[in-house]
Amino acid sequence: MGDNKRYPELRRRVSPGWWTASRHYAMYMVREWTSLFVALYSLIFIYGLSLWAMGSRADFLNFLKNPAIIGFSLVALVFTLYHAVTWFYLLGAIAPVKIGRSRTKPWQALILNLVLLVIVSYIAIWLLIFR
Amino acid sequence: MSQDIATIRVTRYRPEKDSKPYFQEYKVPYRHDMVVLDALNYIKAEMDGSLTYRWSCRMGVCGSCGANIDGEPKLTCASFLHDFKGRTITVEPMANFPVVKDLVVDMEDFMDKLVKIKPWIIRDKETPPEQGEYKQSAQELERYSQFSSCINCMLCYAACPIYGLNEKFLGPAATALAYRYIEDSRDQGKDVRFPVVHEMEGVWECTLVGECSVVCPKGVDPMLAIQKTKILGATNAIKSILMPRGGR
Amino acid sequence: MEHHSHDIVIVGGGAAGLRAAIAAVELEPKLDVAIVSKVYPMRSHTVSAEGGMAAVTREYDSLDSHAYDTIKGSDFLADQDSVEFFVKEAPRESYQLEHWGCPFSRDPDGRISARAFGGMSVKRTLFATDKIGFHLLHTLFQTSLKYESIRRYDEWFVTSLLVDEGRVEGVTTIDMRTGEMVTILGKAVIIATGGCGRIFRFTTNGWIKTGDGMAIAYRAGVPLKDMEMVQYHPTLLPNTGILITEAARGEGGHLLNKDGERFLKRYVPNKMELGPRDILSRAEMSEINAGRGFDGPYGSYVHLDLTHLGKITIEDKLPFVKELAEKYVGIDPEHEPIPVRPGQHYMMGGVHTDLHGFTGMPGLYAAGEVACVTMNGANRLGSNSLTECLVFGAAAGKAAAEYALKLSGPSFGNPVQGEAMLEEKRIFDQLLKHEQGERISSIRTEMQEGMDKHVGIYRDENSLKEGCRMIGELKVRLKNAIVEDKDHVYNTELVAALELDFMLDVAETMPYSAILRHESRGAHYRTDYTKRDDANFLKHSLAYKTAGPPRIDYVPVTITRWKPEERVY
Repeated sequence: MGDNKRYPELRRRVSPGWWTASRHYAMYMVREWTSLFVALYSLIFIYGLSLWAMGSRADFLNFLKNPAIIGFSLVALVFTLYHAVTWFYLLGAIAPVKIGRSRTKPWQALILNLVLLVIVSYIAIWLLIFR
Repeated sequence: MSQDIATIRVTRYRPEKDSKPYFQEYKVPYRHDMVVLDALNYIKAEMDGSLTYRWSCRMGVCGSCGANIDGEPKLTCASFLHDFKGRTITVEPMANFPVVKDLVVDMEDFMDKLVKIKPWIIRDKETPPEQGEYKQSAQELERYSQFSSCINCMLCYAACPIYGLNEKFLGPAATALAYRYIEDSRDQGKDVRFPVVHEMEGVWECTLVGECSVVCPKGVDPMLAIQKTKILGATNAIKSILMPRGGR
Repeated sequence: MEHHSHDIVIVGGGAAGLRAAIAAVELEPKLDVAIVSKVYPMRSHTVSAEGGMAAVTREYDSLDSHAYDTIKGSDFLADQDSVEFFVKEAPRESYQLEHWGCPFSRDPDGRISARAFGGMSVKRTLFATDKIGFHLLHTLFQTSLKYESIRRYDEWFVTSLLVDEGRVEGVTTIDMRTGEMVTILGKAVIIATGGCGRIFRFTTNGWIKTGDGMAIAYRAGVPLKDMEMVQYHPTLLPNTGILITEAARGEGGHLLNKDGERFLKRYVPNKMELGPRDILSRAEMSEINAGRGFDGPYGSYVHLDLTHLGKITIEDKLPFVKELAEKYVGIDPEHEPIPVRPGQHYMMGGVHTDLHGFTGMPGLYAAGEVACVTMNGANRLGSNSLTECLVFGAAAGKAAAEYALKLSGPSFGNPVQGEAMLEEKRIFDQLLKHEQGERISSIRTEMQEGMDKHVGIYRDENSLKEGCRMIGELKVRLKNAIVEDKDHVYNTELVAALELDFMLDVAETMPYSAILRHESRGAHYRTDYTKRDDANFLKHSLAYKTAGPPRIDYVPVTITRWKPEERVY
């Protein structure tokens, strides 16, 4: 079909800074980076639990009280919450529930799941630390 | 009395003359209800007949007129000048596509992907049309009708950074169309389409940026279609492990 | 010159063209069919049709009723044998489209839903919310992808028909990507390029509706039939001309004048808003001319009131109307009436064909809006044209296939090659080479505004004479126009010049045909001959191209079972 006579098309490379072009893209990249913190925190927490398994609950609690661990945990908490909020929102966008003629909105799924998160967290903290 | 003026900066690229694209500025008389397409048509008619772009229906249903306007993928026929800050608007060809000339991009990759997902009703047994329609309930229609609204404007591809980085990615519109057929109660071609959508460059490349659904002018929500296709793929894989010899 | 060969070459990739291609390869899978379109098929103007497609699918309906409604709607100018063929084939074509996946709206029992429409005595217009054209086109296009023997030339612009010894041999085209002229040979050619609404300034039609197919057939010697029959649709948005579907009235919408009156009770008291389009358009203009319209920055208009329909009806059945009204005039139809005025929408006239799409020239067929079979006569009923594309697209595809199977192909020797080279010269050595001259756009705008004015809803001897004169003058001016873009690659200005050339040829046939029809019938309304005259004008006009103005001849209307009667609604 005359391909060999075609003039060169302009191919544009995507620049490494593509995600700075808009707020949406930037927030997406931040969300992706938060998974690093989630992963790191999980590893550290598992290590802490292993201290309990091989020693006593006191070893685990002392590990948690370490200032460096507290510092990292606070930072990780912020990022993990951001991660959770974005994923709950996406869950609401992906799996809306039909009620009558309308569908649930993503923010409704977000609120519901945040509430569930608070409840589950409360139970976990109570079981692990305060009992 | 001075007339209201809008400044339109348009990408120019003439492959026979230019090795690189450049911006050209035009000043057009501004009316409150003008869309970007009106401005382009004014430029072509009154100022520079060589300005090249696609358009046809001017009502947002043919999908011809996609462009990156002030950095965002939009239809020029549906973008009102009054929605932009200030009176200077930058119009570039849709991102992530090779440029043929000015605002016209090469669509062949998308056309190939359309064929790849086999966008037609696949059935084991057809009944003759003389016997009437295949019955379908309103609920069955609703399972896929949203995804049948795609006008093939490709703004979603322009918005998707994954497609920008990897041209082999099947992409939003093609996946949404595949899902539309998979979910159509009259279709029985799941097994034919699954290998296409579930290959590595199928749905699994998607990392949920979600920009495709934001820019879609028809509310197709291709991001949703991709995730639902992922779910179908995952459940299918589990089923084939648990029930390797049958059970659909 | 590069050349390709196929069994059948289809010019135009809309509903009729795609349906013809599918029909041909289903008849004989070994046939090699090419679809040549100046745009990608999904952009074809079929896509903008909104309301629905008519077919007899219900027990309360009958073929005779559909036929009678169509014939009466046509003001008895329709050829009744083609109408009978049409209504008989329509149900099968509708179910076939459904089988191919068209997402029709459904009744509770799972059947395709039907709505009321203008001029139809019962609910027979099958619909898919209010985007039937979009769904029909995408269904046909996507279905066409499954046939490997359908080969597409997307964004190739056809410039002429190649004819040898009165037989069609193929087409000359420009490959937009390279700018090269290429010959595509075919044993049969089907023209399915749609109408020519862009001849007028205020039209629902998209940019691509420039009458290309009508012009190339006309130039090859095929007459254009009933070109004075131009349909004006009653509900266009002012300025943009965007179509607001008849379905809005089908679902219960009202037309109101400045006094809030449903003025149609004085024009079509029995059908009211569901009267035929020609009568409604004239009714609106009468109201506006009598000072009972609203005044706006883009001319006068009347109101289309949907506020009483309720949120659910609008959301379920008219979502696109709501979207268009909100976007382009900033009005939510649930709460406010929509401003509308009449404008050009469809061509009843076109390339003369029989009911198999055959034009009379061996190897040449036509189907869809470009063709004039005629089943629409002097006025088309809404929702008949999509079905028309399917029925006659399929008929033309089959007829072309049967013809092609009997032939061995044309070869690219003389005289065909010579013709093609001449065509190339005409465009590239002459048209493209002008260094100065008038802009294409200025000639085009004058044509459009002039046609609206002189060959509009109301015509008389003087306005039509002026129309004839104006076109003649514009044709001369086009010879000295300039194409600023000298590129080979994707030269849209060259295409615009060629399209304008086509449009002027096609436009010329309209006032010349109209001026000789001394009556008012259907959409052709003359203030100097206001009555229908069956004794003298129960016939179709045929416009033949000559070196000068078109020569007008006539052919009688085929009457089978329905005698012409007074057309009252």
